[in-house]
Amino acid sequence: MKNARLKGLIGDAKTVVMLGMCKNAGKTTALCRLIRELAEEGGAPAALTSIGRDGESRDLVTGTDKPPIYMYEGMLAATAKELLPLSDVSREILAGTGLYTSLGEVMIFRARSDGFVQLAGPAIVGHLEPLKEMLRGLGAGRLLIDGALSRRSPAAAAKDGAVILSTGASLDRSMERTVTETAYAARILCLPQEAAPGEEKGHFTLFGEDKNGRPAEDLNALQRGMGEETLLISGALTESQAAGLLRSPVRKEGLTLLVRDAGCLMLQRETFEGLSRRGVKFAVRNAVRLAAVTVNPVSAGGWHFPEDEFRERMQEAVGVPVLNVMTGEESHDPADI
Amino acid sequence: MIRLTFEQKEELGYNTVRSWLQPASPYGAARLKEEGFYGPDRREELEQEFDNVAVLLEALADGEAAVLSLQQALSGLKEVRGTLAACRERSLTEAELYELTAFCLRLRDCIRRAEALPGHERLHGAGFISPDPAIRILHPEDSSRVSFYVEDARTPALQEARSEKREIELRLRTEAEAGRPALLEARQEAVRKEEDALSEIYRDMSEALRPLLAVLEQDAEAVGRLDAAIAKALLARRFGCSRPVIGGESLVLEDAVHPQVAEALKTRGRAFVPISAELPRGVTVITGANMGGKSIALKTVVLNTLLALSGCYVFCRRTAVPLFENIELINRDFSNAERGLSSFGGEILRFNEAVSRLGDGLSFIAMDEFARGTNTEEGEAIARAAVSFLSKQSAVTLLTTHYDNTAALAVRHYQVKGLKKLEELPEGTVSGTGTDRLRLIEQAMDYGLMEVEPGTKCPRDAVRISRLLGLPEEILQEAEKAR
Repeated sequence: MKNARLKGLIGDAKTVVMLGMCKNAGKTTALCRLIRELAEEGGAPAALTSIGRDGESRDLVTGTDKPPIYMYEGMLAATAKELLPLSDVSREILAGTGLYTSLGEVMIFRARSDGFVQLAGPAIVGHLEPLKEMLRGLGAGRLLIDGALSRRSPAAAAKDGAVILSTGASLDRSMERTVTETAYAARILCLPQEAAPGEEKGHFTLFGEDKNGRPAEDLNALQRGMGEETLLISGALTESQAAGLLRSPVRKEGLTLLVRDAGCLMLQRETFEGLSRRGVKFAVRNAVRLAAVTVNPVSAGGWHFPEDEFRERMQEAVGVPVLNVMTGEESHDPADI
Repeated sequence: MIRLTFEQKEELGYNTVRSWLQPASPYGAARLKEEGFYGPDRREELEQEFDNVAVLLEALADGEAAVLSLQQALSGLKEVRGTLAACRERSLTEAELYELTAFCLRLRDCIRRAEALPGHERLHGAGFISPDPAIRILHPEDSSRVSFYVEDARTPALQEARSEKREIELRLRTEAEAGRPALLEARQEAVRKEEDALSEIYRDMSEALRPLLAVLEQDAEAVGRLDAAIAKALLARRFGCSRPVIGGESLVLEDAVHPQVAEALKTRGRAFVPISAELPRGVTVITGANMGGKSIALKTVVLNTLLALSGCYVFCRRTAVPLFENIELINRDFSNAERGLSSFGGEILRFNEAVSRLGDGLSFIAMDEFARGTNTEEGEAIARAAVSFLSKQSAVTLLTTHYDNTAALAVRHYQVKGLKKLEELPEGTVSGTGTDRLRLIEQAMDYGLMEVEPGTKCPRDAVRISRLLGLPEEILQEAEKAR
């Protein structure tokens, strides 16, 4: 998959959410690559936004250079008012969205030139739906969202979307662990979809909040629910809740834990695997499609992995196309534009 | 000046009814919030407000499409008064210039639709001034498409910067990796030129807009007034409200309804019994049985009076409302406990405050069960003395009370018809749960008012009601003996 194009991998997804395993995973590079590939696409122009703030030219956390996002004439972008003057693309402002961020109202503009843009879209995933509708009303085609794993972004790709997951050497000094952790994230993103049992009767909340973090109540609730084959969990399934379940003596064989979407599973890999080994299955009510994994063999810390080996081992582990977006050879191929 | 506390307005249902007014724009919302109560000094303004509601009701009767389409257009207007104020001080940013562009284009649309309303020429304060001069500055292409963009041709400097930038950007599309850094650097220079050219243009635009700001503010005001009047007309139409007659010295209500109570009754399958009363200058007393709805009657009168004086149509078949200088409500105040006062103490303090505010102008004073919170003997004496005092003031006073003797001093006395239908009920205890019994009594009540000779005794039926509610017979017999 060395020279695969992201555009081909996302198919006809209406929404594409970009997720990164860590800083410097090459997520922005992958996004820029996809934007460039879509620039040549006829039809309705793509629209760009982010969940929360992203797209600064310096990474504020690690202080490393981070590629800014470059968009093309005719495309649309939704970003916070205060970031407009920091984008250097010529802009025609089309609308205020009435959705607010800490950097002001999210505004929608059309690029009247090519150029750099700083994105800070809605910080609340629930605001993406109205934003999508507004963008569509203004003639946008696909929506590309710069997301983050921790921000519950996968939900934005449910129904008609796709997810691209970026990972790289910055995640861990060990290639082994980088591959294993990424494969785990990919597995969560690929969980099968199931309808909730008796959904018309309303939610069945399995896990309550215990201020001491003890899962006693959770276990009672679980035992009450035993004999059910599928338990619907409203909200997030957290690490402490799942660890409590793992330690408890209740029989777990044949049980399916059903969450709303992949973003609601917030478990350590070990806990997930422990429960899986004891026969627990996981499923989501809104599945997403993981279209590709991109790899960056170079870390911000100075170490790097052998490029081909890294890509190949990742490929074996994740079961979806893997490509290295950091290699420049095809990036500026004139045929790309 | 009408100064009621938030809690009092809440208690009266005034806040609830005002919240039913649904303006489409932030301007209408601001207008409704700032409108306040109309006093004798704003008589003309109040009549104009009613005229506007009348025109809009006619327009609605004519076919609601025109009004609803105007309301739809109004809902697209965003608040720009802060931006207008900022423009006096400094250059606006591109986002602010967009907001003004959107406002002016949508305002033009609103004006067009307002002028299409039948009878619009009779609307007061809706004399809009065209925003076209501002649109020519902000949006010279003058399309109806809402957007903000400075075209290249605006200034030679912008044209030059943009064409330089565009040329580099085209080359960047196909340039190999090695050549990109130099091109990106050259682009930075073109970007800087574009930014300089644009900030000069934004400054010129802001300067050119400055003389037009007052006109836009005036239009925003007119929009607010129109929007608020539409909200009032829609509410009036929904509930069949009527235009109050303002003036005179008597408060007259015919078939008045308390809409909040009526809505609550409706959900229980019951209807509000409208009340009618005429309250001349002096003291009017309402007496009546327990559970007879005296307080509801008082609230109905005060609420409709307040609505009339805040420029709303009223929930009555016919009303005449004097242009009161002052409205005072003296009721049991639940915040007294926090201030360490008994309800009786709180009432007396509030009475003092109200009296200190009485002036030469006509006041309206509403008192619910005044002096009820102390022993009957002294309570009645105090209530009587207060009635005697208030009779001499320049005020229309309405008092609900248990004390018959108080009513003897009143100019008018109404009794809640109340328990007449009770004759149809069984003599003894009604079977069923407490709620069932209460409901039965409710059904037997006639909440209407009837005028009686001042001082007419109330029917004595507390014992009978207690029996129906299942008070032990032993206690009832003891009570009957003592009567």
